[in-house]
This record gives sequence, C-alpha cells and structure tokens, in this order.
Amino acid sequence: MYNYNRKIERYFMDAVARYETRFFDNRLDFNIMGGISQEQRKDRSFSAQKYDLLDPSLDVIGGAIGESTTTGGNSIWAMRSVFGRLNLGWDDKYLLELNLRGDASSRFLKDKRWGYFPSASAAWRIDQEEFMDGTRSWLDALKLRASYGGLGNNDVGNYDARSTYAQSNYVLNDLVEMGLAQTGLANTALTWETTYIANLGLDFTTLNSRLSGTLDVFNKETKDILISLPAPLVHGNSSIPKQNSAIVVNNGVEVSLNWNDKIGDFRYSIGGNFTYIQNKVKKFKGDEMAINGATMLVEGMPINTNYILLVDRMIQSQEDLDYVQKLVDNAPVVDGKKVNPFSSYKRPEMGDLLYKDTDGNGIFNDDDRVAVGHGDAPRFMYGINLGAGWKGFDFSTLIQGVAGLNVIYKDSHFSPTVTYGNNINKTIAEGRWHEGIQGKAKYPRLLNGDGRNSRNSDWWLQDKSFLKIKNIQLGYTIPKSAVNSIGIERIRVYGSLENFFTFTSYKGIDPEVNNTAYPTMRQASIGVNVSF
Amino acid sequence: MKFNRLIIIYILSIVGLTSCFDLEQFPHDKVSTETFWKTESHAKQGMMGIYNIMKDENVFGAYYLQDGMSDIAHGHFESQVKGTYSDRTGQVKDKWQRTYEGVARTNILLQNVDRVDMPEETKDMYKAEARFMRAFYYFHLMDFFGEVPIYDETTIVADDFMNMKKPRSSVEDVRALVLDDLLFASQNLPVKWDNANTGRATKGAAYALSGKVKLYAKDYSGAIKDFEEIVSDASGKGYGYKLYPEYADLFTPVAHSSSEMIFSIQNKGGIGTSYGMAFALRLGNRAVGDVSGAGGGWNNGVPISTLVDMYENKDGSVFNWDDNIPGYNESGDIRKETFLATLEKGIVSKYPDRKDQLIEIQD
Repeated sequence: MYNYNRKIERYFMDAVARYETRFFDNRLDFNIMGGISQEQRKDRSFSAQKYDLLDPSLDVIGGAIGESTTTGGNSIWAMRSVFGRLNLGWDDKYLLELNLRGDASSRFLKDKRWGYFPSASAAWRIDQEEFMDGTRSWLDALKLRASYGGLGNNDVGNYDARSTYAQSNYVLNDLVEMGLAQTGLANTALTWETTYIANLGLDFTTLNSRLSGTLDVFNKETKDILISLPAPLVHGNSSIPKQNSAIVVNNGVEVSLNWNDKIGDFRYSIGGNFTYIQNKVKKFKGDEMAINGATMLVEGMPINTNYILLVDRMIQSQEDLDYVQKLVDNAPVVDGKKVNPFSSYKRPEMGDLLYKDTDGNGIFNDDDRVAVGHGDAPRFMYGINLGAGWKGFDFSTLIQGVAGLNVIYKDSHFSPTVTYGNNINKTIAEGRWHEGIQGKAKYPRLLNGDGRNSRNSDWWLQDKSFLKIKNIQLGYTIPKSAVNSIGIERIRVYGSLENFFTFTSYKGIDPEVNNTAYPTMRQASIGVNVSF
Repeated sequence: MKFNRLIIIYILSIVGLTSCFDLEQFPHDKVSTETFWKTESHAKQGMMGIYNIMKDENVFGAYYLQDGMSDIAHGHFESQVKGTYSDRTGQVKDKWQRTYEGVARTNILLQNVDRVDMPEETKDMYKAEARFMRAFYYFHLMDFFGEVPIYDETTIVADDFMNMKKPRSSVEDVRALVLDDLLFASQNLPVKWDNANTGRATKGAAYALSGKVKLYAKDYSGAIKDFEEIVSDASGKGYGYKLYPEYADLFTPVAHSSSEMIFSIQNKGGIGTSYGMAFALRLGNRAVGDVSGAGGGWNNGVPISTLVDMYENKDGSVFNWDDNIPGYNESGDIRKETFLATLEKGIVSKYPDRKDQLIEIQD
C-alpha cells in the first residue's frame, strides 16, 4: 500500500504603477512603468508505504502490517524583482523603449544574488514618413527595428550554492550510529547566467496586404553559462554543482514570408519561415577540452561537437586482415621493443572495425579522435504552412524540418555490443557480419560485452535532418441555411493527421528524439465542431 | 484623479510586500556546512561518515570477493581475470573514487574539528581517529594503485574540486604520510572504547596497521617493534589481544568483538545491506540443499577446491587426495567417479558411492 502526497504552492506578489501622457501637441507619447514583484515556490511531498495487507479488500495503510517506509521532502525557492520601463514615441514614427530589471534569487548566496538586466529597443516606421508617400499605393507598412538587451537565467538546483551533509551511518556495538557526510559540494560563487541579444529586424507588408514578411539578424551572447563540468575523481563521491563557466555566441538569420490571396471563391495562403543558427563556444577553459561521451566542449567550436574516431574500414576479407598484419609489422619501436598498435583497442578480426590512425603515430587509441560536425543543435530550421478554402471546405497543412545535424546514434539497442537484458535492433542484427556471410555486411559482428566496435566513431554518425508533415487538416462547414433552422449556429466536420509523414535518412525511431526513446505520437482524428 | 490612483497602488503594494519572501534558503532535508560542526555529537556524526565509506562495495564492502582474482576462488572480477580491464572499468574507477571519498571525509573532519565546542584532548582524539582512517584509506590505495596523489587537510575539496590534478606522489611519500598519521594515532587513541563505542579505531589498531605498512615496505625491524608493542604489551597498557579459542566462531557475529579482533568493520544483521555487508547475498548459493528452486544467493564468489585442499588434516599433516583415494591426482576418471551425482527433477537421485568417505575426509 503506497500513499503519496505532493503539494506545490506558488505565491506571486506584484505591484505595478503606470503613467501615460502626451506632450508637444500630442506628438510625443510618454509611457512609464515601474514595479516590484516577488515569487515563492514551495514543493512539499510526503509518502508512506507499508507491505502485507491483512486482506486484499482493505484499501488504507492502516490495513497493512508489514515493513513500512516513509519519505518527506520540502524544497523552497524564492525570487524578488524590481523592474521599470520607459516608452517614448514621436509622431508614431520613432519608437523607443528602455527596460531595466533587477532580480534576486534564493539560489545564489547573498553577495552573488542580484542580477541587473537592462535592455533597449528602437523602431522606425518608415512608411509613415512623408518621403514614402509615393510608395503608399503598393507598400502598406515598413518598419525597421533594432534592440539590445540582457536576460538572466538561474537554472540551478535550489541549494547548489550550499554544501550539504547527508546521512551516512555506521554501526557501533551492534547498533546503528548516525553519521553525516558532505555529499553535495557547493559552488559558492554561483551567480546569474546572462544572455545579451542584439537584434536588427525589418517588417513589411505590401501588395494590398497580400504579401508580408520579416527579416531578422541576431547575435546572442550568453555569459557565465551554468554547466556541469566533470571534476577529477580524487574529489571523492560528492555531487558536483553547476558552474558559471562558459561564453557561447549564437549568430543567426531568421526570415519569414506570407502570401495570402483570393481567386473568386477560392482563398489560399502560403507561408514559410527559415532560420539559420551557428553557435560557437567563445570562452571555456583555454585549450582544454571537456569530453563527455561522444561530444566535447572546447573554445572555438560549436557546443557539444562530436569528438569521435573515424573508421578506416570494416575487416571483411583476407586483404583487410593482411592490412592489419601490416600495421602490426610496421608498428613504431619504443625502447627497442615493437609496440602493439592495438593494445588499447584490441586487434580487429573479421567483422571488426578498423579505426583511422588520424594522428599518424602508428598506434590506435583515444588520441585518434577528431572533431566532426557542427554540434548537437541543428543549423537550419524551416517551416511551411499552406492553407486553402473553397465555399464550405477548408484545408491546412504544416510542414517542418531541420537540416545540418549529424549525431551519433548508438545505444544499448542500436549497437553491435550485446548486453544482458537489452534487445538488439533488427537493422543491426540482420546487417551484421557473421561467418559465412554472402557479400558485404553493413554492421560489425555482434560481441558480448566487448565494446570494440561500438566506440564512438563516424560509423555510428547519422544525418538527423528531417522533413515532417506535422499536420494536415481538411474540414467542411455545413451551410448556415441548413443548420440555423435547427437552432445551431455552425457545424464543421473535419479530419486531421498529425505526424504522419516523415522524410529522413535517420535510422532511429524518430529524428525528433534521441536514441531509443518514446517517439512523438502519430495521431489521426475525425471531429465535429458545433457552436450554438 | 490619475495621481490618486497611483498613490493607492503604492499603498497597496507596500502593504503587500511587507511580508517579504525569505531569500536565505537552506535545504530542509540536509544539514549544511553553516549549521554543522558545532557540537561533539556533530564531530561523532562526521566520524561515522568516515567509517561508513569502508562499507562501500568498492572499498571494503565486497573485499571478500577479492579472492576471485586469485587461484583459490573465482567470480566478480571478470575483466581483471580476463585481462580486459582499463582505468575506465567500473571496479577500478570506483575503487579509486570511493576510497578518495574516504580520504576527503577525513580531511573535512580535520579541517573543521577545531570549530567544534569540546575539550582540546577530545579534539586530539578525533584527529587521531580521523588520521588513522586516512592512513587506512591511503594504505588501501597504495595496495591497489601504488603511487597515488596526496591530498591532506590543506586541500578544501569544496573550493578546489575542479583543480585537484596533482601528479602521483612516490610510494615513499605516501607511506611517510601514512606512517606519520599512524604515529599520531597511536599516541592519541584510547586503548579501549566503552561498550557503546566498540568498533572505533584504537591505539592497538594504529600499532597493528603501522606494523603492517612497515612489513609491506620490508622494514622488518620496524614491523616487529610495532607488533611486539601490542602482542607482548611490555608497557602494560592492557591491549589484551590473544587468539580466540574457537576457530569456527570467528565466522559468526561474535567475531567482531572477540579477543582476536584488532579492527573490524562493524555490521548489523537484518534485511537489506544498509548496515551489514552482503555476505549471504554475494556468496550464497542459487540452490538450497536438495530442494528445487533458486536460493537467495548470487554466487558471486565461489571458492575452488584448491582452497579446500589447502587445509591440513586434523593431525596437522598435509592433505593429499592420493592418501585417501589412490590414483585421484592422476586419473580424471577416478575424480569423476568420486564426485559424480545424478540430479532428477531437482532432487539428487544418486549420490557417489564414496559419499560417506568424502564426508569423512572433509571432516
């Protein structure tokens, strides 16, 4: 019998004052706002568990007589903010906005608590100018925007700035003796992660509002990024806090265009958007890199760039075996002894991968890893939406895609290393090398508990670009004259397909999730909207 | 009118915000550095945390399975036996990390014990106890890794955890630290603890470990001096160590408080492994007697017959199979015939003919 009770309380308090007026014959629009706010989040939980119900018909903890366990927790987080905004507008042509906010978070120690984040933005409605009178017949609106500002992030554990002790008991004289040990290390220097964004944009509407679009160029610089870094193991076993460690820059362009028009009874619209982002680690730890599985962080490269081995070939013939023998024969000599080039990776046999000796020292090991790709975020993202309507019918579809993303796809299922308790993906099982195979194999031989072929290498690198038709919807609205007589305002029947069509070369279940995880759902639905 | 509204808003906000949410938050389920290291019971709790690490499976918690790497048992250390292990192998990496956790805990105590409100001599006793444990952990690290980096109480882990990249110190330097810690421990630890504290490190334990460290370093005269201190007890401190008369009882819970025990990891029986070590689980058999079905054990460490055969006969003479069953050492057929039993439906249907003789031999 298990009872669980969790209560999350959030308290908000805001006080905001605004003042608005106009000066100079109403030409200057003046708008000022100031406020303070505070927020608190309490998360309390309690659970109790007791085994051995006296009888299956009983349904409360009191009906159990066996071993019992109870747990309880409480976690509190609070934040206090002050903020102010000033808006100025001249003739509705020149617009200026200034913001300043200060935030204090309970997650940081007193002297690191406050973060101040100013921002400013300006806009120029070019179409309102007199010199644009000549274009008014075809240009409906044109606006130039520029902004620069900071934002704060305090995404760390509630108590990461406090070193904590947890129970770590021992036994003395056959009795449990309470012990405590520092199990969570604090980073007392934790503070706000700040992102500064500079943005330049252009909005336009033209051809009788049929064509509209925006163009944005941005530069986003995130400082003091809170990340978990691996610490030397000699620190012991206590958990390591996140640290304000890096600077990352994101540069990008965003374009969107929309067209909508009507031909007789037929209405249609076409919209598209496109984003290009390139990120780069600007400051990290000098030349030092932090390697985390198949990826690494290092200055001058995108975040989580693949740091992997390259595969020379899969050993599938006598010729390949001879080549391996040649590598052994030509191995470098150290202290008069010939080195075994495969001492760390094991000598490849039939059905094994032979990695590339990228550093050319004749020895195959982790030093042969190289940076590949552009990090773990897609560089190109795009979307297309189409809409059409004719009389009572309406149709819409949404297409989304990403490109420029190469990641390692390899987990306990999609791997030639068989482990106890995990099934092997069919693609791997059927494509594997085995004795007596006809032709070439696509994947290495299966090995039990031997990871020589499942090292992070470009063999397992896959293009994760995809194009998905996220949604298709077709609807029909029954003519008003037919339904009004029975007291109904509107009836629309529709059918829709979600996530039904995916175009990708990625071999995983779904390019939108990593490894073997729960994929995004496909959904087909038929519905009726009725309004009275 | 507008101005009045402003004033009202401000009054409301002042009233509303007088109850400020507290930005000084402390964990509710954990003690933090700010609140710890104040009373003697804190010092003792910190000390128990140091002892606790001994029970970690990667430190001493599964030490009894270590024989699996030798020729008297097998199991548990598959990659070591096959020779496929590396510094990334869990057992190797965890041995390093968890034993250093023990070192870190002793250092934290040494850094903070002076803040605790208790008499100076009690502080010295705590320092001696912590230094005994630090020596114990470093000796264990040397045993497995040889040269290891030295971190003592001058390193504050909470500040330096990202920069702990000292190179390995020579075995001599590590041993010097270990012996220095043990010297301090032997001078400041009590000969015996009261009943409630039975199991904590004693003066005798410090001498014994010091002797063992010297023995491993082939400093025989030094080792003899340390061992003689507690065996002959010339200064009459009352160590009281002597061999326990009942050998078999040393494998039961009475062992850890027996006269033969100098320092032992303290356990408490019961369900689960929180306060005991998982002997029965790790060493226990899958099958129980003649009854079909799996037993509770995992069979992780299995002694092999070499170990059994190493035992002497009752009269002290060396055991030899050939003396009991002629031809046993030479003939595989005779060995098979000696031990072959038949199992049917989980029940032994036929025992070997020599069953009674075998029982007699083992007895």
